[in-house]
This record gives sequence, structure tokens and C-alpha cells, in this order.
Amino acid sequence: MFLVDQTGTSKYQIVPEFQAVILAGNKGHLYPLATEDNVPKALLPVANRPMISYTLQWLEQTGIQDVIVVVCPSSETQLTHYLRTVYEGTANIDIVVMEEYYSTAEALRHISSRIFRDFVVMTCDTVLLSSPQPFFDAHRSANPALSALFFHPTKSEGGGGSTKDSEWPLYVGLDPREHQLLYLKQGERVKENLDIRTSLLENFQRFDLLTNLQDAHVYIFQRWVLDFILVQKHLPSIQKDVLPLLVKCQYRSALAEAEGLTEILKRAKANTKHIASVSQWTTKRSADPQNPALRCNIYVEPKEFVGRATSIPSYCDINKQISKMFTDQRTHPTAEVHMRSQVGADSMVGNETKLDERCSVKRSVIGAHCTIGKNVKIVNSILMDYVTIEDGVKLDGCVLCNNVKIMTKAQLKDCEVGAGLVVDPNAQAKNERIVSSFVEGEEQDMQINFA
Amino acid sequence: MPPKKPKQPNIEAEEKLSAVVIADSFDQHLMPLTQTTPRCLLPLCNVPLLEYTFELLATAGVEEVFLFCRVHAATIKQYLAQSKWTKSHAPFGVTVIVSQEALSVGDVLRELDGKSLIRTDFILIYGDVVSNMNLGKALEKHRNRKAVDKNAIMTMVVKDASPNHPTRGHQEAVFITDGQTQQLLHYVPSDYGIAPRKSVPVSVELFEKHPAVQVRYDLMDCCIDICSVEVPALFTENFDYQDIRRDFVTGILGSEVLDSTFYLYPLTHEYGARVATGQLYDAISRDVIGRWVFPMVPDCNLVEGDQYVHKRNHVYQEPLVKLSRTAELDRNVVIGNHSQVGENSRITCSVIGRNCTIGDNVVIDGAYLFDGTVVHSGSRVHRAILGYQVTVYENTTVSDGCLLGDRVQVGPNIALPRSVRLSRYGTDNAQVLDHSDQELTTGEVDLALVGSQGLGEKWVPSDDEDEVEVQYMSLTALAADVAALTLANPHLADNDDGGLSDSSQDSMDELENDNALEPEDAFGDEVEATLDRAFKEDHAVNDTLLELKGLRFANNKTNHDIRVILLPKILDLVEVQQLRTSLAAVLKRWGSLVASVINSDTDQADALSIISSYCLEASERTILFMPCVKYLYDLDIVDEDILLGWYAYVNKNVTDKERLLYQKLQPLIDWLNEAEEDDSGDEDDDEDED
Repeated sequence: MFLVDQTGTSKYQIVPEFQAVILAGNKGHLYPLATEDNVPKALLPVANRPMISYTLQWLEQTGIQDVIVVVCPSSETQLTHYLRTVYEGTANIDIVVMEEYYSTAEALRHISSRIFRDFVVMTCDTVLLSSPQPFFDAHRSANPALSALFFHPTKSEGGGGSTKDSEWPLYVGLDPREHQLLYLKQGERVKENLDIRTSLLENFQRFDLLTNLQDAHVYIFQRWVLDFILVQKHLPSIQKDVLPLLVKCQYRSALAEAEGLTEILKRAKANTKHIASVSQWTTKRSADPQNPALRCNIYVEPKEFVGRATSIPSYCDINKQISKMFTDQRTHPTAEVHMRSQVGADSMVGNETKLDERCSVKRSVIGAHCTIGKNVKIVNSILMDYVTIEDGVKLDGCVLCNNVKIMTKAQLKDCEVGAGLVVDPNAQAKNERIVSSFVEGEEQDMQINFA
Repeated sequence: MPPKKPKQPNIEAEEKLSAVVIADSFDQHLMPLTQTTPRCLLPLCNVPLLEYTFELLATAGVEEVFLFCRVHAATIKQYLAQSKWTKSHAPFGVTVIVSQEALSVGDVLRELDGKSLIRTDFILIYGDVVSNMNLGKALEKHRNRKAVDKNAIMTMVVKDASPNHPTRGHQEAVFITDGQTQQLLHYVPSDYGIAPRKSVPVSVELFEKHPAVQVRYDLMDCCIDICSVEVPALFTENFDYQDIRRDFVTGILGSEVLDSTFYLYPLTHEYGARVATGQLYDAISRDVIGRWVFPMVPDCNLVEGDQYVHKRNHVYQEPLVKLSRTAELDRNVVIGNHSQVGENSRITCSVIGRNCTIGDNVVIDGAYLFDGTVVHSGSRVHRAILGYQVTVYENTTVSDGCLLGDRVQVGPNIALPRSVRLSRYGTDNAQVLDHSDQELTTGEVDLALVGSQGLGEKWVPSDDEDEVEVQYMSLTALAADVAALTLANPHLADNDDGGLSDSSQDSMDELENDNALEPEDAFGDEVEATLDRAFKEDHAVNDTLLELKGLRFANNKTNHDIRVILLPKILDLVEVQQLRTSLAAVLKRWGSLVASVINSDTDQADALSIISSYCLEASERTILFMPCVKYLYDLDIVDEDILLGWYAYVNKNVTDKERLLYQKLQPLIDWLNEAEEDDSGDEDDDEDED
């Protein structure tokens, strides 16, 4: 447990408790925001900070130092640059490049050789402002096979982007007294009825079945679960396949047997024996470390803010909510806001951005190095970096990617504009996804032309 | 009528609180005891059941009781006339309503509506409910709720109890409630463990209004309901509703037109249960003796004139009991006046009525003896109910689950088999006798069964009883065979914590004591034995099939379970030396048996998998594989496209050994492919694990 270093003085070496894996792929419904010409998903700004910085910061709060970030080739350069040079955290970040189409469980299988101890898996699109300690403490005290973090989603205020979220409910069964996760079913996989197994009822005679929870996609796994994921080669997704299967195995011993889980558990049990003394020594109240029982725990974040940016509307919501909570200076000191312009107390303006006179900015986040002309109204919108907006433009519920240029007196409502595009003067659009020079309905009185 | 609202509480306060007590059981669970005595007057710990119910109502301040009877109305009236409930100091007036037509609770409530006897909320209860709950509190809750939710029509009293608790009596109803308000949102009635269901369906629509619900499997129904005035009217509207749970509650909850709501009133420290079956009679008797229903215990002497005294080890004894010096009342015994127990007799966990005579060297364990029963020396009575004036002659054994009707005599020197029901009033259930002094039938007595001095015939459930009921009866009979039960429902074996606690089990326990496998082995042995017999004695295919089917249904197995045993067994018959001829002979003889357990496409693929794994077990079997599959194809047991699909599927993921085996199939596959070029082969569904 302690090493004697060269100088002969002995000191304790802290054995890290967990490793963390951040899946920073580009998957999701964030087109055209997370594209190659704009920024990778992990670097999308949330209140003018890259999304992944929230994830890393949250992890660092728990004391986790070993972080593996799995990135896809298209975002490798940008992300590596950010993590190596811009990000100021203390974690040791290991970057692994994987093909785009790898699903979450496949990604874990791919990097399994780098995981040596219990580990945390999360995606870069989870934005957490809560303290991680209660979640980790709950995990430590019960010592389950896995702990999953769930939260009550905040109601969407609407607006932001052309698409609407049509999210399926997630059916979550849990024993509120034991914090045990008992049932998990994706809404899209349910037809008419939920089938509740008799074996579940026999083993857990009383539980809650909720549809108002959302999975934060933050999991703490015991190391042996990785062995199971390695065996289950055909399971693509952690959230949709591995987790439900593990949950089922809690009360279906025959299934656990058939899926080879019992065998892995037995082996894990044998392996933990020699570590047992260590963990007893380090943590007094570890719940029987000799017995890595198959138990799935759930921790429901009580109140603090957790959100997932899986789609454009949810991305907008998170931006709005976080910018509301932001307590530092909302307008960057280097930004130049004209005296006769108004920036609402719920908005943010990034560095080096210039606002000319008679502008009004409400419930919006404006990135860095933007140039905004006279008499511009920006409501409920997100502007990334290097956006140019000419005089008299009105934006409501829009998301503008990097380097977008909106020409005089254009009016956009609930639109997304892909990176580098130019919107013509006097253009009018509503509920539009503007991604290229080709737009349906061009032949009509549509006044948009794109560079 | 909004203007009237402020007045309403006053009106309700003036209304008499009434209760509807259903005295008829509408079932045959305690036959033949109920041939002569109505169920509500059967003694439980020597006190008629109705006394418990009435006592509960009296403590709740009920002022008016409607007692519905069908059969035995005269007996009930006679009993009431001499009881304290019709005396001048009785807490409520009892109106007896006799209705010969009523065949279910639904009929009773329709009649109630027809007579418009009820004008306010009422308590609906059965004449055989034992409870010490505070009904007043439940009533208050019901009334307060009506102020919030005017659609609330019923509050059902339920109690926490783990699924295998004896007092729950195999009720497997699932309640889905709103955890905050205790509103019942979805109800899955019990199937009484007859056809163990794999899963319980819950409609997704439920969650539209209620994003958070509670699933409760730890509740037993106390059969006490607080109903609003609308309930009888709803029964009249839906004239096909019979059972209040299976039809009414599920029907109204599932209705899209009605938005009536149901609520639960869960008991935690109070007791409530209905003596619905023989097994429950046993369980509730034990609870009363064990003082779980305090203050309703034998020594509170509910009936005037009783003089029970509570002694140590829960022995309740009246003063005029004559015990011999060496007789032993071990524990949990109730024994009434003028009964006597002979030398060296031992009584445990039993109830002995009045005027009973128990000879020397008798062992009575877990038995219920009604008044006037005589047990002669050297006999044993174990977990049985003996009606009024039953005689058990010398050296006779009455074993588990027997129900002996009034005046039955058995013995001497015999042993009754388990779970026999004997009656002296005939086995014609259609006409239930109204007076116990009616003529005894002189039907033929099976002396081999009941002994040389025996009197009484075997009673069997009547045919008009639906099959489910009959099965349920055997399951819930007193001392139902626990082993048989385990077979029927492997889940039951899993966790028996026995207590009232509903603690969720540690999942590790489940992994470790996986009892589910044991019954399967028993089933497998049975099937193998059946097949061995069939092969050896050359049974007809149809007979064998019938036997297999019987086994399958009895053990609730699928055709897959049969196939797993059958196919290897049949292949074992083939002599490898003369492969072709013997295989042809075997399949000619037994092919149709194989065909009859293979029905769907999935079955065919499954059969192929079974055969391949059989052939993999030993290297000499591998040569069997191709010819066998070929024959199955020739006999049209396996379709071409299934075979091709299966072949494509298994070849995706194989070990070397498997590949060697599958390669043997290649010529056949090639031949098939040539025959039909465009056959792409569909993927067979893997066994659904969901």
C-alpha cells in the first residue's frame, strides 16, 4: 500500500478509486450544430463554455484524476487541441480515437484494456452543476454493481431551433427505500403495455414506476461489469441494452445464468478476496466487499441542475438555464456594448464581441468575436463565435453556428443556421433548418440565398 | 346541485350508518362442511364466524345491518334469534334478506339497488371476515376523500403481506396506485396461482395522467369495502358483473366512459382477512390463537356464555374440560367445555369444540374438531377439519387436508388418504340442505376408503363449477400439497420469508437459492419415465402424446421443455451401426409424436438446435445429424425455408466443433438451394427473452 521511493522516505500513495470514461462522439440529434465545419459536440458552447468542460469539472470534484476521452476522428484535432492546451483542469486526460459509428458499449469494449478499476462512464452532452458527492457516497455505501444518475428534467420553455423534441418517456422502476433500480424500459420499445415480470413482483413486492425521470447517462460501474460487457458482444448501447439487461438479471437468475453473468460474478467474487482486506482498511463501511452482488442502484438528483443536450431544443434549454444561473460577469470585459444597446440580465455576451447602438438582447447567449450591427433584436437565441449580424436583423429562437453572417433586415424565427453560411438581406424564415445553399421551396417568395 | 352543498354534511350525519353483510359464500371451498352449516356460522376457534364480523361492525358504530342469505337462511335466522344481536341491547338492527336467485356478489348488489335500501355510504363485508381494524377511521377517510374527489366510489381495505404469507391465501392481485393519494389506478386480479403468469401488463396510457405510480404486490385483500351509494347502481347498469374484484373493479377502472375512482386503505398494524378457503381457515385460526387479532381472541368470549381462559403457550380452555393426568395440551390449543382427553394423548395447534371425546394415545396436530366429535384411542388427526359429531374409530389416521362433514364416521384401523372430503349428505351439491336434521343419504359406502364401521361418501366438486375454481380449490385446500404447489409456480419457491414484512430480498439470495431448477428436474424425470414406458411397452403415439400433454399442462411447461427431452430420447433409440434402417424405423414409428410437439416456425428452429446440441455431445453421434435432419425434412416436420434460415443463423457464430457438425449438413443445404434458387431464408426469431 505504500511505496518506498528512491530517497528512502516512505509515504502513502493514494490509490485512485475510480477511472472515468467520457464518450465524446458526435452522435445525437444536434445536426447542424455539431459538424465538422462547426465544432464537435463536446465543444459546443454552453453559456460560452465548451460542454465537455462541465463534465470534466464535475469529475474533478470527485477527485477522479484518470479520465479517458473517447473521440471520433472528425473531432480529434479540435478536441485534442482544447484538452491539451486550453482546458485548465488537473485531470490526466487520455485521448482515444475511435471510428464514428462505434456505439457506447462498443467503445467500452474497445478501451477495456485501459480500465483497471471501478469506473465512471458518462457522455460529453451531460451538463451537471450538482455536487457529485452525494451520488458517489450513495454508491460507496451500498457497493452495487452499478449506480446510475437520474434527474427530473426541467420543463422546456420552448423556442430554439426548428425541431421539437418528441421524446419517448422512459419507464423507470425503483425501490425508493433501497434506491435500487428495478425496471427500465425505453418508451420507443413499448407498444401498448408494459409487461411487469412476475419474478420482479415476487422479489420486489413494492416499487415505484415513474415516467418523470431522465437518465443522465452517468454510471458508476464495478470493474467486473466490464467483463460482462466484453462477453455481451452483441449489445450496442450501454443505456439501452446493457443497463436494462443488468437490471433484469437482478431478479431473473435464469437469465443471469444464461447470459453468463453468474459466472462472471463468481469470478469477481474470487478476485475480490485478496483486495478485501485493503478496502476494509481504506473504507470502513464498505458493504461486504467480498460479495459483489448484482445490484443496480439509482440515485435521483434531488434538485440541482442536471441536463442533457441530446437535441437542439434541449441544447437551447440548457443554455438558457445555465446562463440564468451564471453569477459572474455576464458581459465579458473585452466586449463592447454600445451605450444605447440593452443586454438583458438573463443574457451573456462573449469576449471581443461588439454591439452597435439600439440593440436589444434578451434570454440569449452571444459568443466571442461577434459583430452586431445597429438596431438588432436577439431574443431566445444562441450565437456562437465570429457571427456577424448586420443592421436591423431580428432573431427569435435561433441557433447560429460559427462564422454565420446575417445580412441587413433579415428576420429569422426558430431556425438553425449551419456554420459559415450567409443569410441574404431582407430574408424571412420560420422553423427552418438552414444548412446549405439548397433549400426546399426556393422557387417561391423565399428570399434566402446562400453563399 | 351546488346550493345544497353546505348542508350535505348534516344530512350525512343524520343518515344511519349501514353495512351490507353477505352471508353466502357463493363457492364450495369448505364443502362438505357447508352442506349443513352456512359458512358464516362455521366455528372459528369455537366462535361462529359471523360473531367476528358483527363485532367489527358494532365497534365501528354501524346502526343498520342488511344480512343477505341464500342457502341456510332458516339456520341463520334461527341463530340470530338466539344471539345477542337481536336482544334489546344490540348495537344495531339486523334485517335479514333472503334471495334464492342471487348467485354472486353482483346479484346481491343489484337486488340491493332494486330495493333501494341504501341511501348513503355503506360498508360491504362478508359474513366470514375476521378483523380488528378501526373501520371508523377508514370511513372518515372515505368521506373526506369524497369532498376532494367526487368520483370516489369505493375504498378497499387491504393489508401489507408478503406474497407467501399464509393468511394471504395465494391471492396474487397486483395493485397499481398513486403513492400519494392511494388512488387505485390499475388492478390485476389474482389468478390464484393456477396458470402462473409470466408477466403483468400495464397500459401505457396510465402514465399520461399519472407520471409516478406505485406497484404493489405486497397487499392482500381484506374483503372489506366502503362503498358509495353509486356502487349498487353501477352493478345494475352493468348487469353482467358478478365478482366485485374481477368484474367490477377491473371493469370500471378499464372503462373509458366512467371516471369513477377507487382508493385503497392499507392496514399496517391491524388485521383483516376473510375465511375464503380451507387453507385460510387454518391460517386465520392460527392468527386468532396467536393473538394477532387482539382483542378478538378466544378469551374475550365473544359469545355470551363462553368461559375461555388464556393459559401459557396460548392454550385456551374452558373450566369444564376433563383432561387425564398424562394428556398434554402442547401449545396453541382451544378446547371447549365438557370435552375430555384420554391418557397420553397429545394435542398441538388445534381447536377442539365442546362435548368432544378424545381417547387414549391420540395425537391431534393442526386439526379443527367441531362440537361433539369423538376420536377413539390410538388415532391420529393431522391438519384436517372434522365437522360436528364426527367419529374417528380406533387406530385410524386422518391425514393432511381431509375435510369430514357432519356425522361422518371413519375407521377403525385405516388410514385416510390425503385431502379426502367425506360427507353423509350426498354429493349432490345442487340442492344444499337447509336443515341438518334432514335425512341422511343411504348411498353406497366405500368401506375400503372409510373403514369397516365407516359412514360417508367421497365428496367431489360438482361439474358446473368452472374448472378454474376447481383447480383453485385443490390449491387452497387445507394443507394443500406444498410440493405440488412449488411445481406449479416456481416463483413461490424463491422467497419465503414467512413474516408480514415486505422487505425486498437481497438479489444475491435469489442467485444462490435458485429453487426454480428443482421442479424442472422432477418434470424431466416424469417425461423420461413416460417415454421409456412408451418405447418399452410400445404404446400408441396418441396415448403417449396425451400423457405428455397432461404432464406439460400439470407442470405448466412449454412444448420446448418436452422437445428438449423427447428428441434426444428418440435419437437414443437409433442404432448407429445400421444407421439408415434404424433411423427410418424409429422415425416411422415415432415421427408423428415429434411432429405433434413442433408447431410453429420457432418450434422447428428450436428442434433443430436441440438435435444439433444432442449430436455435439458425443463424437459418434455426429453422423446422426444429417440423416436425421433430412428425415425431418422428408416428413415435413421441418420446412425448407426454416432449415435454410436456421442454418444461416447458426453458422454466423460457431465454434470449430459446431462448424464440423454443420458442415455435414452442407450437401443437404446445397441440394435445397439448388431446388429453389430464390430461397433467401428468413431469420428465425430467437427465443424472446423479454
